[in-house]
Amino acid sequence: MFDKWRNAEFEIAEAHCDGPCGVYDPSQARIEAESVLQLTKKILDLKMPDGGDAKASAAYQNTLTRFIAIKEERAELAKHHLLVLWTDYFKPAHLEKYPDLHELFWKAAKTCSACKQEVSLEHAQELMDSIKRVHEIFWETKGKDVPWFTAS
Amino acid sequence: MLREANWKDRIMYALGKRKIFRVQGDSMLPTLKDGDAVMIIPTKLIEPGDVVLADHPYKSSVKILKRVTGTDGEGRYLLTGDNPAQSTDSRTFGSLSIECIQGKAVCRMSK
Repeated sequence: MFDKWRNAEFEIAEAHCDGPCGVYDPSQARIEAESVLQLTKKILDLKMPDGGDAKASAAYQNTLTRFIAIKEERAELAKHHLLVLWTDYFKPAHLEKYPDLHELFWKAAKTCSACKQEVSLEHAQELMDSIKRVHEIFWETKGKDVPWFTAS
Repeated sequence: MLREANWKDRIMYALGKRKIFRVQGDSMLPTLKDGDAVMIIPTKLIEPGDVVLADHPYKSSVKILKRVTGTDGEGRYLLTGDNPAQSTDSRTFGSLSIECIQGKAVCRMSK
């Protein structure tokens, strides 16, 4: 009789995380940060046309503006994804094991802003490094060995 | 810790005095594991430390199992999973009113 009860169909009482749990992944922030890094390189490599060529100047400004706009957008998205991980995924229990967690996310979010304000390869790389550390901690909390990789 | 159900619990269940729910998820580890059955006494008389069955505050058809860890300044209940690293609870959805509380867990039938 006991076994019968153990396997019987009963109404479900949920004891888990809400839907978003399990679909968190620092890869979202990593992809945006990679875009920021690549766009920063493109902006720095962009050659300014010689003066007097209106058509070339327009093309240059159009390209530069697009690079800047996309860098701005991607840096904001990177910040968004980092903040979601920080506020929604990580819990106080994680902080006990990783006491530098708040500092890590705070600095990473600040670096996103710096990447918008400046054309800085140093800050773009710093953002990637921070996200790499988030990646390592995140997957450690999941008990999975997921190697760091980049798309570019 | 929740004790294992005994024959008295089963009689109470047979008499309709208790309800049984199947646990889904890991947020109440190590007290309750995924797949365990848990017996609930329908009651509003709960206190901190009790494992309770409650209506999810934002999902009308969902019932949740959490531990009462305290009350807020307005007498609403704070619920937390015993495995906080894998639990969505009052830290996310805030405190719950007594109307949301459906009962108290008294024992389990381990999977």
